[in-house]
Amino acid sequence: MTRTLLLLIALFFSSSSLSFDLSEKKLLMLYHESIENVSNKEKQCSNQSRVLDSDIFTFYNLSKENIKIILKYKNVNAFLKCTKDARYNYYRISSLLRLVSVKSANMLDVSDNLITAHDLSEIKFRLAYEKALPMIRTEIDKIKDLDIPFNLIETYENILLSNDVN
Amino acid sequence: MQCPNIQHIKFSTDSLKALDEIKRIKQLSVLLSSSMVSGTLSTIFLGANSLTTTYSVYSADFDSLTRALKAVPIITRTLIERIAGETYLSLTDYKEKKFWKAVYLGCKVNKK
Repeated sequence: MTRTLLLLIALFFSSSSLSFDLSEKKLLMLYHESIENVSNKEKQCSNQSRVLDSDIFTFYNLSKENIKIILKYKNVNAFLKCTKDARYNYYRISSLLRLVSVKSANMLDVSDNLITAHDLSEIKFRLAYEKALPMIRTEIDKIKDLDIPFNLIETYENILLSNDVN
Repeated sequence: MQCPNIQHIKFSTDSLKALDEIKRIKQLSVLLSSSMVSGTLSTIFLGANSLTTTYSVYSADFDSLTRALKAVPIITRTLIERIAGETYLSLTDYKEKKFWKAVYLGCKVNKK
């Protein structure tokens, strides 16, 4: 009786360890895929970025500093919106892999550090944006062109060249 | 794109901070590639079932790793592009701006 019980327990643990192995392996493959997807999406979003019209802020009479604040925040925000699905999938798989694989912790720390860098940038610039422009923020947020990836430097230069900005 | 020659450039604190950040990102990128290789190998060969002497190694395991390894430089590149663009906007010096615009557009630094 005891022997049968021990045998059953041993069987249970060996099969659970096998399924643990398999799920870890599968998650590792999904992790690789999610990194590939993030990079494909980032490349696609980066390639589709364009130069915005020089008159985009004409009605608001903004200073050079405020234009910089808006463009920095909106640029990273548009990029994150464009890559959102791929990033979400990466975060999901990364969290699951962290749960099942202790030995993947270092690798996940590094990739999380790289992939979340844009998110950290967005939080930093959002704070500056919210602080600097409380009065016209709602109006600026309605400008749809700022929600699609754009070329930060050339847009800024384009606005400065065509407008009398202080 | 024609990359510019910029001589005798003196970097401000903002530029130096950005260069440090780029250096950190490049180090992370190298570290990620190596840890992905070692992570995959340890999952295949040192799994929880490590007492077994035979392994099933599928080409798919390596295919997904290879594609992920190719993806890392692109992720690194978009981050460098972001740092370059944001640094450009915070500067006033013409040479520095020219430098960061070149980095933003994909030029690499050639130290002399």
